[in-house]
Amino acid sequence: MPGAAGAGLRASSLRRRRAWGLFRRPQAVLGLAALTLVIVIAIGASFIAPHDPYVQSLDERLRPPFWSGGNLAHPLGTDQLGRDILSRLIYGARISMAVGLAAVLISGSLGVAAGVTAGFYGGLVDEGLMRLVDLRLALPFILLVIAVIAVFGPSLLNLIVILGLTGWAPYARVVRAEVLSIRERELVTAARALGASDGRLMIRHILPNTLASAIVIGSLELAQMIVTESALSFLGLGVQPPTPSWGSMLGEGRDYLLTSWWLATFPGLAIALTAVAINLVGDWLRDLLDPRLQL
Amino acid sequence: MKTFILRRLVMTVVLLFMVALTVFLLGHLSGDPVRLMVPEDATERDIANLRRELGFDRPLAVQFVDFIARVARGDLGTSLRYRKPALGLVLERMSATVELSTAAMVIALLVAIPSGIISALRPGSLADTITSHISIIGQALPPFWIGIMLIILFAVQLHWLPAAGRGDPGSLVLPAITLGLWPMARLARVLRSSLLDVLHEDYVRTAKAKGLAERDVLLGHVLRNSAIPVVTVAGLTYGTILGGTVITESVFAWPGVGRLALEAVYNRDFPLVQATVFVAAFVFVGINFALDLMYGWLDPRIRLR
Repeated sequence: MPGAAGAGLRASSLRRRRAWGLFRRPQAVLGLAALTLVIVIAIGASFIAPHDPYVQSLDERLRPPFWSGGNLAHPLGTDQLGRDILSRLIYGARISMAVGLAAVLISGSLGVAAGVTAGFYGGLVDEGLMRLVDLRLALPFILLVIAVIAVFGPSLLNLIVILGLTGWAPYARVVRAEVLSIRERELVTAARALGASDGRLMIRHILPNTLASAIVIGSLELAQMIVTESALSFLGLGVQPPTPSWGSMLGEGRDYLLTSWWLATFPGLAIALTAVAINLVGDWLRDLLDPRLQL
Repeated sequence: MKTFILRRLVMTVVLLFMVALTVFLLGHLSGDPVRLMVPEDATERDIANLRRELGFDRPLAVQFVDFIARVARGDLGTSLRYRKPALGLVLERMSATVELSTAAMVIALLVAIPSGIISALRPGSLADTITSHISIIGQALPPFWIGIMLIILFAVQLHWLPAAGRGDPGSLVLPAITLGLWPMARLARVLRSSLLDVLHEDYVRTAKAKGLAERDVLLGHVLRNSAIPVVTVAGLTYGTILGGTVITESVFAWPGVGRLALEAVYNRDFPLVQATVFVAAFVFVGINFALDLMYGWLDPRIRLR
């Protein structure tokens, strides 16, 4: 099918050219740089952190950052139990990234699978899925999540599972719409004529064409997942102490806002900057891969 | 038009039924709903007795029918902690949440509408660039961080506004700004793209070619036609923040439904948790239904489909 192949080739070289436009968009570059930094920190936490994030020290409690009266042994100060804030921030990056990526992978896989199946088979299967999406969107996300946490108890693993199982809807909707248009294309008709089974069609031909949108949604959902984990840990319903999470650090720091502002400010900044960075990269990815997506 | 309303109504009722089913199943997710309601040191015999008393030993289908019957009567269970009907407790706190959400939307609209219009009328200008950047950041920043930063600045450092609680009108300002930031950013972007789409339509070019002043074109043609997607998104956003006030209410100790749900989770008061989820979903579905009807009224092409 020269036409289809030609169109595919043209599209990918167009994409390559647009990718280099990245450097004309400073905010996307900043976002990508910041995100890379966070990922590197998360992976290399054990090498980068100056102290053990769990070690408590009663005489080092509530030390301010080094420019505000503290010392360079604890550059960003210590918390109410004498633990080094910089080290806890570094290990917190690991938790945020791990939870975020795991949740996105789980929810993305579920959502894409559901969307491809519904779009491909149409009819009742499609109707059923659309009603499930409506149902999922009718239930307020954060209330739903804390209700399920109320049943199973708060823990890191529960959090990943819950976020993964409740975040599938955006992928399903968009992928289904894509599949509806891909289904009618020549390459599908041709493959079918050559005897391809439903499964083979879905996995080898349709699925790859939906991945671009799935990646865009995934990047924006990653920010959402990280913020949600932080929010839940902030409320005490997410990652449990003493595991360092930016959200729980922010929550614990809330009691010391008047006296020891550094406990809450640094984790808060970390969450905010990471979320903004991921969103900037996600926006760039959307403009690159699928500008039609209105999210 | 009537078939349109009827179809939407049927879909809404089906959806509400599914919501009820989900809320019912929430309690049974762990396998034994009774264990959610008893203190950790309860004996097996106490649990068995309670199970029989509350009817949890009956078949699941029977329990569900009973649940639906009770919901239809307005009985969403009894709060374990307050020993009062859960629905009543939720409705009591509803006014606080509605007050907060409405204030947030008003603030969001007051900023988003002018900035969206300016951005669309002068795309690529400095104003547009600034607005776009602020919108991107506003949509990404976590609300609880913004809330805490606002508290540090305006309450702790400047002492201009109270840090928490619901009291005089001033106490509404910080929480409303915190909650309204995300809708503000989103609506500004949606309005901008909707306006840009309409501005390129043929009938706008015709109007300008006819010699109409820009302001008349704007008011008579552009704003009305770009209103539809914006109103829809605004309505959906309102519904979303109504259910999403948990974080903001927690940061500012605002006595609304979100905070009620949170306290219920802390207190292992599961019937109350279920009731809040149900009411929030119910309200959201109701708002969606109203939006569907309004959309059908505003855009004749929809109802004739």
